[in-house]
Amino acid sequence: MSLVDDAPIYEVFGQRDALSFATYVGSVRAASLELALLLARETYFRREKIFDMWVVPKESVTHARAFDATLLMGSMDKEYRLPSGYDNAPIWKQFKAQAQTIEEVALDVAPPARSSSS
Amino acid sequence: MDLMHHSKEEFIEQIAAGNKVDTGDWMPDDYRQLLIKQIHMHAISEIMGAYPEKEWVKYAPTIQRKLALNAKIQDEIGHGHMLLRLAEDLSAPLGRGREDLLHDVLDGRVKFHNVFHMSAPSWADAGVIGFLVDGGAIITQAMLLASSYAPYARMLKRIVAEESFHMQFGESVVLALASGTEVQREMLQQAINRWWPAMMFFFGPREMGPQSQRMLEYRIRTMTNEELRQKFIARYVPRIHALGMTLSDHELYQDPDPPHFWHYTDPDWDWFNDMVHHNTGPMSQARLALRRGAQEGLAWARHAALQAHATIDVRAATL
Repeated sequence: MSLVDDAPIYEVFGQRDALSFATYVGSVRAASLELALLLARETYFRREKIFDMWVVPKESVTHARAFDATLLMGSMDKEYRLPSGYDNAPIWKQFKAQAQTIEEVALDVAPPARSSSS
Repeated sequence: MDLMHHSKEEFIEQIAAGNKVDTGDWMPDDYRQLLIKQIHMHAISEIMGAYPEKEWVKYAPTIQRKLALNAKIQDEIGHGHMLLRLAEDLSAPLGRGREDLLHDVLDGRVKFHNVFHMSAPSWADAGVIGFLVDGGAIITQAMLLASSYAPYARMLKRIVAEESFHMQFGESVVLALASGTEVQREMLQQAINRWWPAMMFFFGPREMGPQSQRMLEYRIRTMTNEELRQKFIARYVPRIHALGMTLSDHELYQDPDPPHFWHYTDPDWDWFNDMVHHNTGPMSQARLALRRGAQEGLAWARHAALQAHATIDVRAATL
């Protein structure tokens, strides 16, 4: 029989930089939120530079897999929903015009389009 | 960004240095107000943008087109909800929540894009909305990926990725019509004629107002109205001409000298301005009536769900 109860479990998420999404990395046991943050840093982020870290009490996480019909079915054809479902490039070529992609548009308007305020 | 000394000057310095602002961070009041104005309007426009397309679902020519159009509408509503969450977080200190923000459009307290006040009388309009309206929106949204407000920039990464399908879908419909019969090509030409002036208005006045200037200084946005419009014209005029379609703007031409500015006829600024400020467009009231039906007509359902504690029992279901 143990002398002390196990500490609560916290799920740990790391955010690499200000513009990235927090990603699940694992969990820790700790007596408080503050200690959970400390342990999470020591356990999962000893080397890499991290912008932010989240700890969430395990019981606050609800898994979709525990419920029927909350996850998409894998076998359905969703091609019509994806850019890859459209082959426009050959038709643009027939019209002697270039197909465009969203990546190319993003590059076109990405900084440094202007260096500072006008 | 962690600012211990809450001074506006320091805040602007931090932003100029490329630092990003996050949800709970301190921010000057006018920065918050500008963000709310921008993101609230963006969110409501996504939702109002679903209505013109919804009209075409049952008339779409094939089952694939129906599925795709439905998928696009689901995306727009989804984008509206993602953006509303951001607007809510910013509005919370001012005591305003989601119900308030959604209700604002019914009271005329928030605008939505001019293009969603217009009518879409043919199937070609459904295609041209994807081709030109989404095309223009993508240019604006891609510019906002560099926004100083990190939650907005992050969310736009997701949104822009999904818009990639909208772009391909719209072009696919337009290309099919352009490759079709004379009747189909004429239908496409008519739709382009209808949407071109609305797209010139879409990017805003040539000279930006003081609020938009402030958004540049705060790097909420990184390009001017005119820079964005020029990107749009340069990208779409050659494509429209390649399809054998014309643009009835006789002042449309590109300066042969750098910076190769595109000249264009001004849209009817007064007519469009009145439309977005007072909901006087051809379809403004009809679409607001649909929105009111969803917002007010279904208020009882949202209320009942809360009353019934209809949320799932978290503990019992945890894996």
